[in-house]
Amino acid sequence: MTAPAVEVRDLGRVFGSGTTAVHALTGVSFDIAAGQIIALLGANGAGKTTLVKILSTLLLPTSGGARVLGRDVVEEVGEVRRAVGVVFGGDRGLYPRLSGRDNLRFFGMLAGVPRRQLRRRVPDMLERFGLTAAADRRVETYSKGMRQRLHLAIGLVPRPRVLLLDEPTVGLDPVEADRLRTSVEQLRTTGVGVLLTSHYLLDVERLADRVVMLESGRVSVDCPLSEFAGRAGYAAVVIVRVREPIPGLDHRLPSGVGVDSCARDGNGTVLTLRLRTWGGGVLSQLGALLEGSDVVDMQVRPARLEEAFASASGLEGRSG
Amino acid sequence: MSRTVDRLLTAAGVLATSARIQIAEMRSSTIVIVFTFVQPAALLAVTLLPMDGRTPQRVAGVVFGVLLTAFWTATVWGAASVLRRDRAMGTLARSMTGVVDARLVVVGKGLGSSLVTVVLVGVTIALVLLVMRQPVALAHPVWLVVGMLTVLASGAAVGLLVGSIFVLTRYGPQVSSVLMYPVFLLGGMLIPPEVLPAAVRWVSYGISMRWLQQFLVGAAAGHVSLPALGAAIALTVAYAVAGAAMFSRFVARARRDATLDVF
Repeated sequence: MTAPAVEVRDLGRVFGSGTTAVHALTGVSFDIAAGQIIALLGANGAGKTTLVKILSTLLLPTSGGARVLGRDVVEEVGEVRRAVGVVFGGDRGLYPRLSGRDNLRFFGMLAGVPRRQLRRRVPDMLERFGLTAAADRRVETYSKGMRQRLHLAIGLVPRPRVLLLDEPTVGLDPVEADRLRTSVEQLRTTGVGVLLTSHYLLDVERLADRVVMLESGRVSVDCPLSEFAGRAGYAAVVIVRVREPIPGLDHRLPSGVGVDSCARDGNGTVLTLRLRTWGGGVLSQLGALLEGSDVVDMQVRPARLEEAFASASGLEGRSG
Repeated sequence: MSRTVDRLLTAAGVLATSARIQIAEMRSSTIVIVFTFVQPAALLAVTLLPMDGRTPQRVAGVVFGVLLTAFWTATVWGAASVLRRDRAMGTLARSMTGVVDARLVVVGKGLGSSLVTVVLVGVTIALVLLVMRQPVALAHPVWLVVGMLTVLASGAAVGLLVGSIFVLTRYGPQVSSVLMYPVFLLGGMLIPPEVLPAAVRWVSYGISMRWLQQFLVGAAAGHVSLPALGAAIALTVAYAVAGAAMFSRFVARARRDATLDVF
């Protein structure tokens, strides 16, 4: 059996000591298999950045350990660095006065890519990420999307077996974001294990195989994406606008359907209903219930990932 | 064999690109104008104008004193700013987690900073001397080039030594100010060590610029002091070794204590 791409075992990190000690990570354990994309979720301060820092060898754990392709992140730093690529999100992390090509070449050198291979890989990566035409322009003239593609090219130029992706689509327009997601998706076929940290749940929905969620430094959820989506506690939401309120609605609802909210405005009443299960039977029961009511508008949608996230992180009441 | 050559070429490439990055960054820095134009021009004016009997040999002493003083200022400032800028730009994380030694990046940037400083201060001094129609002795140009190359190497070594401190602290500019002025007064570059009080005279012996000053002034006047060059080279090697060891130690400590805030 081959070792997982990333193995995290009982990992802990404490900042400070005594009464002021902050436990950023406590007993964190999970694996990333080769070719698997894991989404690392959590509210701000949950410990995601600390975990990424430890896996990229910037920070030492205070307890437990982590291995990348079987190499210890504390004892075998050089080997781990050869195996791991890190992609940062946002405008930072590039030399703005150098060209895209020079940035790629320089960071490739730092990542230990031999010069001969670099000579081939740099134009290949520029081509792959659509940056060939702008390769010799200073990065300070690049758009956000181009910078982000350059980040990804830099992260992939050493051909890492593990990629740590931090907010890869932050600030991108939908077309650029989609293009970037396609590039990340392709990594699956090459056997690269990916740890994706993102607040954009569309990234998670589109890319992740599994979700690991951190809450106050501990793993609160570790499950396949499909199972995570079910954590919202309901499968679908029905939003109905009727002219007049429906009397005794609570008692007449089919089983598995609950009222999330009921709001009145100048145009009538808006009912938001949550359906625990999704099926034609429930919909026809709802249709029967609404018969005789003056229905103005009706929308049906599946439960969203952010609702699952809000539910899992206890933010449900605060979510919109 | 070819792998070793490739590694050496990669190291040279990292050094050269780091130097280029630093030079590009310095182009947008207004403080560089102060260190390389305003300060040396002012120092030259206040020392040369009131001087009686300005012989080319005496002028050479002032010229190299001013050049090394400006160089020291820019080197210490540069060392403080290299890691600070990288941290601000978010590029420090990549240097610190690279397979290639991060010290190469710091040394390369130090070399870039030193090279720009020497060239710009040299141009400023030449312009001031031209305006003043003041001849200067340059008796042994080859030895002067050797001396200036040692100045560059010494600047890069000081940069590594000073830069390693900034891995641990965010107060780079403040620390660099503290390091700058005592060396001005006690380093023997502007004020001859023999006029300093005996109790503090020894300080200048540990500063490579003092020996380089002695060597350059001697070579300009026609008598090459190889012991002074030897002392400068030995101190440069000592700075480099101490800087390399301190950098590794401080990076290890930064990983443990999380002082390297790079994200």
